Amino acid sequence: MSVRTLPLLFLNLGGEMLYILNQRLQAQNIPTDKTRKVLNDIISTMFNRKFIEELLKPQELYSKKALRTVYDRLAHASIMRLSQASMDKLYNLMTMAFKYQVLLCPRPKDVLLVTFNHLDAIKGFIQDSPAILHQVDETSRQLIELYNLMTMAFKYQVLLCPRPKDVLLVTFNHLDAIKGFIQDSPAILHQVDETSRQLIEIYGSLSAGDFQLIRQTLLIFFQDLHIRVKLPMRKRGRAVGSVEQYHGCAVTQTTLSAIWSPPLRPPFSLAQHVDQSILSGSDAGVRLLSLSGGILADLEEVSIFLKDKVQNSNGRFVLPVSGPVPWGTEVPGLIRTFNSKGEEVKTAEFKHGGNYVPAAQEGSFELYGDRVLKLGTNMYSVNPPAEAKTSTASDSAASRTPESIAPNPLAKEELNLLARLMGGMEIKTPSGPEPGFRLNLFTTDEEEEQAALASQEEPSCEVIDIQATQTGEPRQRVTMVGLSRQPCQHAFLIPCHLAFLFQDPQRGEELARIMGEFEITDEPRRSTSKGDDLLAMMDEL
Amino acid sequence: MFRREGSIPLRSSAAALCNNLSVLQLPAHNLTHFGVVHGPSAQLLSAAPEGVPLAQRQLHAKEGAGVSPPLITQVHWCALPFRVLLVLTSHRGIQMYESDGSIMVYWHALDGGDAPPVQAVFARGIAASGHFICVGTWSGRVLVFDIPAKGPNIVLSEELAGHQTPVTDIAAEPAQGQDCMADIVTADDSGLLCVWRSGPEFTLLARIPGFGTPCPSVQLWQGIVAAGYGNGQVRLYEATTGTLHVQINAHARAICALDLAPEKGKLLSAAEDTFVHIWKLDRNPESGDIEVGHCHGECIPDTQVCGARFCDPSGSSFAVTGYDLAEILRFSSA
Repeated sequence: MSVRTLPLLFLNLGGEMLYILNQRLQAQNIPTDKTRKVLNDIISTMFNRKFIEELLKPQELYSKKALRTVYDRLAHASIMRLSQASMDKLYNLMTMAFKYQVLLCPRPKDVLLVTFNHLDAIKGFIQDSPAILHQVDETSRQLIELYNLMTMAFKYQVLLCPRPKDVLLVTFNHLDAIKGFIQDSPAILHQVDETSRQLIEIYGSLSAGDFQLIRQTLLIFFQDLHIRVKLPMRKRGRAVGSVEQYHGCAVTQTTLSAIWSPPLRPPFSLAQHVDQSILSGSDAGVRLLSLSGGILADLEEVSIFLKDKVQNSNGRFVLPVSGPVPWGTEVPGLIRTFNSKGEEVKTAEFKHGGNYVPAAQEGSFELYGDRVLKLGTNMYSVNPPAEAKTSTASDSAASRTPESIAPNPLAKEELNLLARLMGGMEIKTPSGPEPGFRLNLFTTDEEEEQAALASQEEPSCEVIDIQATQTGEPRQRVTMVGLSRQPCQHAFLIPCHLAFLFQDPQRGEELARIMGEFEITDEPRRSTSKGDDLLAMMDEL
Repeated sequence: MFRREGSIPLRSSAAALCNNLSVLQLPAHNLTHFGVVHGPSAQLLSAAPEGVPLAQRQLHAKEGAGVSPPLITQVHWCALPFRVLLVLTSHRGIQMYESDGSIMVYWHALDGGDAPPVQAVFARGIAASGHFICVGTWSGRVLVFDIPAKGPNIVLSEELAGHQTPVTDIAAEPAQGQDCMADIVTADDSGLLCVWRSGPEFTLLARIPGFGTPCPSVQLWQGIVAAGYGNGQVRLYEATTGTLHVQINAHARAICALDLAPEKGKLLSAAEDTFVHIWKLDRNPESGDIEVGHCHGECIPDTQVCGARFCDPSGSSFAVTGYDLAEILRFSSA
């Protein structure tokens, strides 16, 4: 399939990984300097110029296993350490989020917009990291990179493409976000910008058909991946009211909040506390987060709401049949008839069945700009990117004003927040002098260990459940609704891609061979597979 | 008008490709063959009217030198006057099988030698006219194979150079042998359509320019070209002149499949917006102009449709495949 797919896949999945890691690090009150170091290290590795150049060469997609290995290396580019099970969970989250974005792209080239969203977000991550530049070893490397980037700056105007494509915008969204992460690290910021420029150069000239092929390739990569995001919850049996206690998480229509026990305290600002409380998993403190009333809505209904808005019980995404049509597409419902001279002789209408409105505007494919499309922006942030357009109350048609090309951004947000709710993160203070730390994507160590075991026991599982688990009290296991019916409690840990990667024995052998090659990293570099080169390069960074 | 019938389970889900469903009707045996591409493999199955799958077969693209297994782009049954062949296109080449997929009778490797490295090499777009099978390629060239009445002695007889971008789909006139001037239409990624007269040497009759969006699916019926575009439009043209007669804002997303029921002139359009629409084509008896009416709309909830075909010549039943969906959905009129 398309040989232009790998960069988009890598950048967007990387963006998703950074969203998740950033959220976890913040929620867990990891010291700011450590958080920044982790993000800066990872982003710097990700956007290394040589690496990006290699990445941008036309090539076939990696196998799922090989790509997974790349992200393993990337996540460990800094002082943070992830267990295998946590890495599995992280990777599943990343891939599921990006699959959703690809699937909901209004037009094939909107994949590009998603990528831009990710890049924008990554830029933002670097924004508040004043400490990063002071790390000597970092600085020396960055100076070299800065020099490289200065020489590359001439390319800038040449590479900007006047005719934008939407797939690129998605990618740009990712890149824009990445820039946010590194705002105070100009060198890394430039690395990201350079990548954006190269993307614009390469992808700006592609046709709609090329983008269709890219999108099909991405979708085939994600095919049969059905991670079902579930929201389990359990009532603790007290009277409904202000002192009601819950284990679990609830989602209200207006926003997401988490409520559980004990004890119940007066409402807090959700935005300030949700992360900390949901994800800390510590025994101290306030557990209930509440909005203005009505928070203790029927939890089952909440679950259904989520299911209806985002995913079906079989793990398939809900595809909306309303909202703005893609840029360049007319609202369906009109038949125009012409005579042989080309004169319009008749118009008729038909009932399409959907409820669409015209497209508002096309997203910007330039280095900076409004991508319009929201797919690929950082939905894990507590304060999501400000909605650019606010409709005035006096405008009767305000409700019809398309806010974004992304269909149902709320649903998307909820999916991601759900994912965020899954499991806490635990930081182990290292006993030795090593200043690193371990990031756990599970609530407890026991869960993580069980998960690791489960993934060994059941190597394949067609529908993978993500259980948004949370225990109110530390080390307390909560039996989740629906959990007991699952054959494998932590089925979501199973690297789901393996299930179908190895469905074909021949393919499996090939992958096993590649995997074997990856493991021997100490040996001299060999160029036996394309995956090897990039991995080796990443190791050397 | 149409109601859902029992669906047919697939061993593996359908890939996100356009025209990802082929149907071969065998009324004599009261059977229908279905072909769906999964990705590196394709599945063939035959089903009785109740939808019970009777026989299944997996086909694979011929392995090549690459690391990753070649992906299949399309499977399609070609009904020639004297035999039926199953054609499978991939990123390696073109494979032709006996109609049940049991024996591969011909293999044509694609030569990507002159291709720039940025170009993915593949074949896509399959149709039969007379004793010819036409297959489109990544370069825009259309390969014409001359098929003998029996046996594997298939010959590449001609290469048509009407397109500059990858071919997306090819359609043939179902009412062959009549006085139709045009009997093959080819479409490409730029939206360009080429209308051909088949024969020992193919003649280009008309070029219908695109308008910046691909044309993933095309059909031909009694001198009417029906084209489905990436912007959700269906357009009907006079085949011999290329004159635009009808423009339908049919779908909110890219159209992925068109099909025709030749007996009634019904047109099926399916798109990524989860909708399938059925249209009725007509010619005005006085002016001869092409006219169209909307017959039916069906939403396949949460399914990015990737293939759709009528299951009988009168268009009273149709089948649909969707991305990530491991079943063939069937509908028939009450």
